[in-house]
Amino acid sequence: MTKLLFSRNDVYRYLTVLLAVLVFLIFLALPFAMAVLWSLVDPSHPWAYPAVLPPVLSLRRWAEIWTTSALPQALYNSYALAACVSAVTLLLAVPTAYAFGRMEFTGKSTAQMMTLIPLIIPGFVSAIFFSALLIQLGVYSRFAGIVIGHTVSLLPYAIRLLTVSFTMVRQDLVDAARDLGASPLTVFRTAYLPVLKPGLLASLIIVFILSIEEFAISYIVGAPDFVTVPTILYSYLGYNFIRPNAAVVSLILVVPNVVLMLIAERLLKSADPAVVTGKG
Amino acid sequence: MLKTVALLMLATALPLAIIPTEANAKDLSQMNWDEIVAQAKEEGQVNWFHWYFQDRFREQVKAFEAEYGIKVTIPDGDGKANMDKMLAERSRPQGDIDAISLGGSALQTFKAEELLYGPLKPVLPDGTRLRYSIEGTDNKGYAPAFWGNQTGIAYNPARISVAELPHTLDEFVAFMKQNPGELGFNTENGGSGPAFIESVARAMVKDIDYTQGASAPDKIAKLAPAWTWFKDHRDGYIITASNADSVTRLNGGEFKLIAAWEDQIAGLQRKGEISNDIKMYIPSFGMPGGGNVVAIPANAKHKAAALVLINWLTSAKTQTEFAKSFGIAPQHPDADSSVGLIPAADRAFSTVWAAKPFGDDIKKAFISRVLQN
Amino acid sequence: MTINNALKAYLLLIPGLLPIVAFMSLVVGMAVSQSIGFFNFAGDDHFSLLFWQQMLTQDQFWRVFFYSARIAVVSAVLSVMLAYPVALWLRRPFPGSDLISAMIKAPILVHGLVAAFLFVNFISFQGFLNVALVHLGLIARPIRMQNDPYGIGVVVLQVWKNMPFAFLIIVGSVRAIGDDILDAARDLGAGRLARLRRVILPLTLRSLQASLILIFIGTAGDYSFQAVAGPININSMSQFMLRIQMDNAAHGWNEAAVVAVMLMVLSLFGSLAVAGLMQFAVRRAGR
Repeated sequence: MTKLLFSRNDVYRYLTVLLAVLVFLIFLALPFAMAVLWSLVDPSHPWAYPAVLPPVLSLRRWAEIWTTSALPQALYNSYALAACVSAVTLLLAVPTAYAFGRMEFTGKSTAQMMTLIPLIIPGFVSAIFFSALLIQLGVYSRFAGIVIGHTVSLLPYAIRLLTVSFTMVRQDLVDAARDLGASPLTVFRTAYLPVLKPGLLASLIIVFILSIEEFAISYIVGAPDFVTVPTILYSYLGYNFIRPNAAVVSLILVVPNVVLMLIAERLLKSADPAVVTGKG
Repeated sequence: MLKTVALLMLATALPLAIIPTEANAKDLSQMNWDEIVAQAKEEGQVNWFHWYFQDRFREQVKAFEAEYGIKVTIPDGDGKANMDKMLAERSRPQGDIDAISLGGSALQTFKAEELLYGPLKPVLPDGTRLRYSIEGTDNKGYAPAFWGNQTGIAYNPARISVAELPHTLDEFVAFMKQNPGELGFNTENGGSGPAFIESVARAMVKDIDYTQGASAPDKIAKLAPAWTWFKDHRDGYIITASNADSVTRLNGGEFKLIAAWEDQIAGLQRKGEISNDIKMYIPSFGMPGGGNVVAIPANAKHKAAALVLINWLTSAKTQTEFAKSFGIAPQHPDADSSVGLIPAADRAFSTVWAAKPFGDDIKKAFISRVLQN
Repeated sequence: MTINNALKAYLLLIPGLLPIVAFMSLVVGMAVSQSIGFFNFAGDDHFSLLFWQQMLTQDQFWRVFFYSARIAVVSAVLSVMLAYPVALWLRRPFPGSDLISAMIKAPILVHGLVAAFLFVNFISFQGFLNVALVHLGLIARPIRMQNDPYGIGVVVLQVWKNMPFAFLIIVGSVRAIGDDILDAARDLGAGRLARLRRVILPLTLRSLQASLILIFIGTAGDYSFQAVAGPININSMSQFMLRIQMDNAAHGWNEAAVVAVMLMVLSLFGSLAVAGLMQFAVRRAGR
């Protein structure tokens, strides 16, 4: 019977897919389930040896962390930083991405390689010696320091993503709009914007997420009192190690970013020029 | 033309920027306490750099905020980072730190007169009744103690009976041989493990004056027998990641014994984070106890508010409350004594921390000679 | 037109490229000059190779250096070795392949610190793994796996986090191989293995090298995995650098700068060496 419905190859294929799902469950879903469980441990009923499961579950810990930890401040700092960083990064990246995507000039590939430098310098090296630089210059504003650090280290991503978007803009559409006597603004609105929009939004979101997630610069430049969500998580994993609290902060760090990232991926998929311009 | 305008503006602005802070500093020592409180309320906020139980203290200071209407901000930095920040900002006219908690012996590593505002002893209403000499360090009235604590060995009665507890070095050796990997202590992120290391060194190497902070290579070299002892029993103990990691793993049933702070265990128990069954004792070769002090950096922006906060922290009422909710040894003479975890008879084994910077070098030598070797 | 255009292009490069070049050369310059005694925070500035001599004659430094190098090589090679067969398997879509590639990419969305926490939580004494093993009767008492002395935990985390990146880079190049080339090879009588060795491997070499280099650099400079899940008895380069800078008040910065320069050297030459070895291996396999 099975032989009629499935070929042997299909059976193998389903088995391997099943295996992959199983691996996924063990390596990702299960650890997350554990984190959720730990985050629900009731603060006045410790989960201690030899209990296999927490004795009492409640949401009290979430409420307590919200009111007593620096998490609200850290969330505010993280999101304010990310907003500034993504705006500044995008503004700086657009002109350069335009040059890379739509112009030919000598030294272009060298220049493109040079934008990748931040990716090959180890994060803690740039963080520590950037902080040394800030001390030498007498800059005490941690907010400004972190914005500069994040912007530079995230520029490569924005430039790369936007370069791809700019290459997708169709020259014939630009020319056609010009030939019809459209003003530069109209050319931009009709020929550029529809193609660029998904790429712009996607790089905005990706830089935003990467800034929220960045640890080295935030930790070194922000220490000791300027906290972001990752630095607070680090302290909950280190000096102030309380497993249930770390579980709460972990979930707060991951869940919004996953949602944002899924949106960004949607946008990037829709950035196909054929879809945007309606032409094959 | 422009240049002269700019210069003129600078000339008028500079004295304006300097005068108010100087006036403040002069005024505070001449003001009576009520005036200081009024000034503090005007400042309206205080940044207290404190390195442990920050979330719990944010709860505690709500009483202070309600009483004075002064907002207290407690950042999340660790002790070392807080001190580094104070040092890094020393040349700034106004720093971010208004009040800073320091380990009792931290003042051995810098000069109080250069970095701190004070002395606070004559300014605080109860100033003369507070304690300024702690962990073998007299800070000459600059930083009153607000926290008394003791290190010891914590054990999990679900895993080990009282009769089995090791008290002497020989008993520790026997314990480690019979129970390899059942003793845990940290080297980084907290002083409980370093307290144990220091105590073993003190018990093994007696011809060193641990009350002298000066450190020299030949003095550190004398500690070699202690490192041999730790190396010989390397399978007997496990190095944990922090004070808190030790406690978490003791609570999880992984260890029978750990080095720990009495106030940390008590504080976590009263909060319900760990089992109330966990107990503590001090081995007969002794483990260090001491306390923490609170001070005001010389360039603090809200000095009056910091003074009022320190007065509140060291008051009999707050100290009694801390003893109740954290299990500390209170530092105000009128406060109720704590009901500690450690049996009263064991208190006799409490020692004074080795003076710094030598005390810090003991830990560093352990890391490089035993762990990373 | 061309000169004008080129000028315009260079002007357009300024906002994006200048901050990168300026920042990075300042930071690297700061590290290099502090390592030879300039921009000294304690005392006077003067040229000195003392810090280099002090650091490079320390056994501890070299243990840290080779530890980081080892973790980086093992993690990069393992990630690529795991990602490659999966990428080949998913070359052409089939029912369920989208689901699988989505699942493979999932770790990218999980912050490194969160991953480290989840992992430590999973393998801890009270963790799921130990509870499951005890309940299955495989072990009598939980095993201590946290902060293992060989750095296995760090490698597991690195592979978990980096395999998706390797997969993304490799799958693109694998998909770019035209069916016509493979068909032609098949017509010429090349078997499965020969097609892999002679056609697929050489055509995907660049992507293999790119993923090796990226993962090697990321892993060599690791701090957070090492701090949370790594061995207690040894530091990674980044951790060592930070500890030296914090512990040794006066010359901490200078000695940390030496470590920083050596870390950059390790990242650069180590990753190039691994990429070169890969090229050699692929050439040999294709012969």
